[in-house]
Amino acid sequence: MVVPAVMIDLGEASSSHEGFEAFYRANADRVYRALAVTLRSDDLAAEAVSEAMARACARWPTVSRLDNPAGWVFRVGLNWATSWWRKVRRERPPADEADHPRSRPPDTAVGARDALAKLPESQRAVITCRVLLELTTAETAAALRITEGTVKSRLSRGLAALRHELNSED
Amino acid sequence: MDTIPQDVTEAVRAAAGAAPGYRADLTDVRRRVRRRRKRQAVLSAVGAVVLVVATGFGVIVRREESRLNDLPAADDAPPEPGLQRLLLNGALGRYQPAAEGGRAVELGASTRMGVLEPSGRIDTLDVVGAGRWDRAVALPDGAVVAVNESEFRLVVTRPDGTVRLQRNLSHDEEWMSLLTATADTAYLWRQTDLVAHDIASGTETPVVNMYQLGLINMQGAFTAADVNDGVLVLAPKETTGCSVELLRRPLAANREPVRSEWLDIGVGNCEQVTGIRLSPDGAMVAVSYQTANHDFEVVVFRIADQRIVARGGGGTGDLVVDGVRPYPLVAIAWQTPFELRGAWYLTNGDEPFRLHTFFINW
Repeated sequence: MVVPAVMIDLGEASSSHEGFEAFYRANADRVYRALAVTLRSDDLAAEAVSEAMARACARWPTVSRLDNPAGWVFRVGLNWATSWWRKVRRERPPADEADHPRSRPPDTAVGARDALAKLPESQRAVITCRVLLELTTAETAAALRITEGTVKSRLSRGLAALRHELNSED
Repeated sequence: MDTIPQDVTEAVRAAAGAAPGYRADLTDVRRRVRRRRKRQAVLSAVGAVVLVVATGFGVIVRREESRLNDLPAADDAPPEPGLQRLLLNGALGRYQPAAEGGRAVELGASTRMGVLEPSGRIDTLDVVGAGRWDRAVALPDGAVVAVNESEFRLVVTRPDGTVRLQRNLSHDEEWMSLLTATADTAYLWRQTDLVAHDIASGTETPVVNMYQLGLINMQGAFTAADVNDGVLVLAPKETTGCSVELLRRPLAANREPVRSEWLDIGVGNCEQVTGIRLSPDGAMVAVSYQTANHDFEVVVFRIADQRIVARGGGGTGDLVVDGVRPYPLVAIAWQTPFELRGAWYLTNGDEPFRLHTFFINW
């Protein structure tokens, strides 16, 4: 069977792509780490940030004008991962990561990851936005599409629970 | 509460720092963008787009590529006898063969590949059938099975270096890569599976899927792997220390986690497995690895009882490469059922680079 190849010229709007490249290099690892903590899965976080970055790249002229493009990427990645998990859970039960030889974080961070893992995902998302992405309350609210009041209450409860967990691990 | 205590901030940062570095790159992002645009274009033009689907798994050949069949042979010298050929993957620059009096050969990583023959001669394989070969396997008869990942193209050459077959391997432009190949089968990584791609027909048979391995996807999940009819050996990227995972084939084609055995390299300072090569009969597996001291070593396991039968560089002690900077590349291949042949080489620095060879036997 002979068909002509379908080629898409990515050279169009090269300046836009340069802008996205700079954004990608500055933020991909940061957003990935924030997602890894929030989602409790490094692999899923990597996939989520790749998907979210692809969406940012495709609509970069719009995304670049947002107040906080990194926050937007974080939210898109979080939403994508949440949808993915819902779909996978319908198909198979979640794996017991503790029994899997691939998931062993370094000892120094085990306590912190365990403590964060005990928080609801909504609280982890707020904490990682504030601490790892260094967003303000207003920026966090915009990124997660929740009110500032909700950000404050989730942060307050999350920090209290996290301190309790960290202290109890000591 | 708007102020975040310093100790909590540090704990959250420590937790984030425990994640391995983000491994994808812009190429992967652009591929996803292309895929999304293509999908959207197809959806918005329903009825206007004619999809031409070949039988089997979509055998698509570009018209202009047929003339590439006439390209000349890569090298006139026939391959020397051996169970496997030693392809110098990643070699880039001018290389001086280990053989006395051999002339330096220019190699171009993905555009002109080199095979180190048992005599020390370097055979060259000029890339044909695609803009570049990202992964290639040199077969004992001189033929090559290669893949261009960005073009999603499989290329199979004849022993004389001309193109025997080209095939579009794209499944909706999902990531794919070549793991290894025989004369009949190309083992391909796909996003969710490792598949055995029948070279003659294009039919693909699953070997193992991500659910069976407890993974999110296959891309970047392993630092090294090899497979043949009887066994699959994997070096998971996220495994603490250096163990390799052994799965005996055939595996049931379902989504239940598979039972695997673990082969322990047996040294405390192993940092990363860099290469795995099964013997053609599947009886032995050789594993090359890098230590925390940046040395390279090789260990050979017998599959039947999972025992280590040999280590390192024979008469030179356990280390194959000892403290060489910058980091060299190490390639290994089975010469006989009882002898492993290897080479290490640099890719930057003063040229021509020397090809250092080693043998491990028992």
